[in-house]
Amino acid sequence: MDLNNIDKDLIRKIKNHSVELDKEALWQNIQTKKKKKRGVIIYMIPLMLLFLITGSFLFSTQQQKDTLESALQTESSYSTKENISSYTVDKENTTQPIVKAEKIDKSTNNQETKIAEKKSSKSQLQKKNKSKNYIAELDNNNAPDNLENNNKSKSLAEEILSEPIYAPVQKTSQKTFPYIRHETKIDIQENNPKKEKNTAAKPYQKEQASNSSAPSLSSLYPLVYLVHEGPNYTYNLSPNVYESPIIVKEKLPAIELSLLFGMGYIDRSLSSSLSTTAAMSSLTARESSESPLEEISTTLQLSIPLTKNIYLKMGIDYSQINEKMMYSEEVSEQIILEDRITKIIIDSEGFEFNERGPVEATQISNNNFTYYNRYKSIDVPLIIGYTIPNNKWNLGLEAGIIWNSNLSFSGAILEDNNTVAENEGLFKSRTGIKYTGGISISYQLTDRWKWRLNPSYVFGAKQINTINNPVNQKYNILRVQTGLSYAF
Amino acid sequence: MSEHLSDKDIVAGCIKDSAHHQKALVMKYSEYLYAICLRYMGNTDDAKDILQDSFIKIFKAIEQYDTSRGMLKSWICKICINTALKKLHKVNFLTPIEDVANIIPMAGNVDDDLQVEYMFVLIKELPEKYRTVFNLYVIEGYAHKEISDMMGMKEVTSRSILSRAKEILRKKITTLKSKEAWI
Repeated sequence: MDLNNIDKDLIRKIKNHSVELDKEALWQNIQTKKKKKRGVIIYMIPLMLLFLITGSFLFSTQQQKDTLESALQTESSYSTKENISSYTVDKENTTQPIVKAEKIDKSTNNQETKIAEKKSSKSQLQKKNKSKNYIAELDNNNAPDNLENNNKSKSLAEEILSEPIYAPVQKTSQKTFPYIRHETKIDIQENNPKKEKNTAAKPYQKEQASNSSAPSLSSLYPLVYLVHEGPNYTYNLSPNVYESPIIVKEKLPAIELSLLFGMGYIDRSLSSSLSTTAAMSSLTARESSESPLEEISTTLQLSIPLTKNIYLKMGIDYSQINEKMMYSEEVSEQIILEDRITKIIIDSEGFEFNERGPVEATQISNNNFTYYNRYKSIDVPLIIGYTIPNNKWNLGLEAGIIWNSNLSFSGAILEDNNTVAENEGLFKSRTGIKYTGGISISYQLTDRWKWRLNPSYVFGAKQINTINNPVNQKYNILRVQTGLSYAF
Repeated sequence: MSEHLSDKDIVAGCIKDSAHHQKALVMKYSEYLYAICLRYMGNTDDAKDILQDSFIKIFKAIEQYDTSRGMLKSWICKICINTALKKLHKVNFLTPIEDVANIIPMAGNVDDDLQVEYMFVLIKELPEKYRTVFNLYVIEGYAHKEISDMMGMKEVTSRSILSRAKEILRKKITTLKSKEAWI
């Protein structure tokens, strides 16, 4: 049959040609592959959730801050208005009455004007001190001993306090004095058509749930502090506000996003669980041919404060273990050497003649091969740490687990018969959990940026090879990473 | 039992993600698709990989199959060819040539089957690009323009490769004839 004359019938037959195949095995393999692909999606879900949760947390924190700033804005405008016809304070507790103060004179609003002044101040420290002074001042003014003396000045606080509509204190308190809980709605009905509701100070509300008492201007303290100090403050005002309010400053550090790069020293262990000749030969071949180089890594990590000193770190980590594999292969080759002496002829007179020609010979040579093996891992670390601050420096002690989500191998290894295997199936696609311990040193560069240095030791990893590979291969890594982190 | 299901039933079941129907599809068409994979990939390992990937793609895309636009067999054949081409495009294959003995002919007319079988093996033994162009042009019936688009090469290159592929095959056939292996 000539190729040019391949008839259509033959083409059709080739096209419809079938080759026998183990269909059951194929079906099993397809199912396994499908599950594997589904598996990747399943593992991506926790990661996505993590980022979603963190994102929404950051968003809500920002919103909370905005709400408080808006509340303070209301407060400021309130203080600068000449006539405010009604000022309503709704108490969370339904048994408490609504307090109304009518026609508040601008001239008596020194304290409120101070709020506006403090808001406009840029220095945080200054704001803090001013706020504290302001609160102390308010407290002094509100103290029962000073009430009578201060009646003349007719401050807003007094205006409100002097009204006989203070609700009686419901809960048993050593000193009974009007006290407004922080769950307060400020409703400026006429002059400010925008109704501002302060609903953002829930930490305070929770803490003070049991300290319910009558309303007073003290309710404004947390507002001032929240705006000046940020939303991460909690307020522990004494149930009796005549004593100086105890402001417990539990400032949680901000959430930080870090991007780190690093290198690591590889502590590799090769062993064989089998004592067969093949296994031992394979082990020897690998030990003699491979040498670990270094580990390089990149980490994107979120640090979430749990308390003032304790934090949780999680993120994603890419690392690559580099190794060099060198081996020499002896090659024997049949070659023909041209113009060689093929015969020596000695004539009757004793003269020698060389007969020259091509000679067949065996040439033995060594081919040296070098492979660079790479074990690439994608890990999800979950680390808990304890931080010890010292001025601009921070020292964190950390421990945690690292979950290996993906491991891939590229390169070549020697097998027992000194043949090169490049089969990726020799290694697992995922190794599971390993552990880490280390320290985190950080230096505050600016308000938001920090430089980080993270030396750590990663240990307890399972063997990375599959059961098809007779050599058990494990890694412990001494890693040093450095990078920057940004506080939100 | 599952092999007796009609294409329509199989498609309907696969759309519902029924494992039973998916298995029926595998059982019905795997040997046919495997031959295509072998023709393109040249070795059994890669062919099996491509076959598995093709079936997974088929299951995913089965909803897009339109009965009015052709037979199911042609549609899955196209998916299989595309999968193979993608793989060939990605990887520079150094394919080992397999023994003829590894390929088991299906039952049928012995003479015809042998001729087809030898031709099949000869095509499979062609170097990667030659094999692909030959398969696409001679067997699948694509035009050089289409092949050049698929493989990202010039039309002239496609013609030239086809010509060389034919030349190689011609030599092989001549050798086989001289050994009286060709029928």
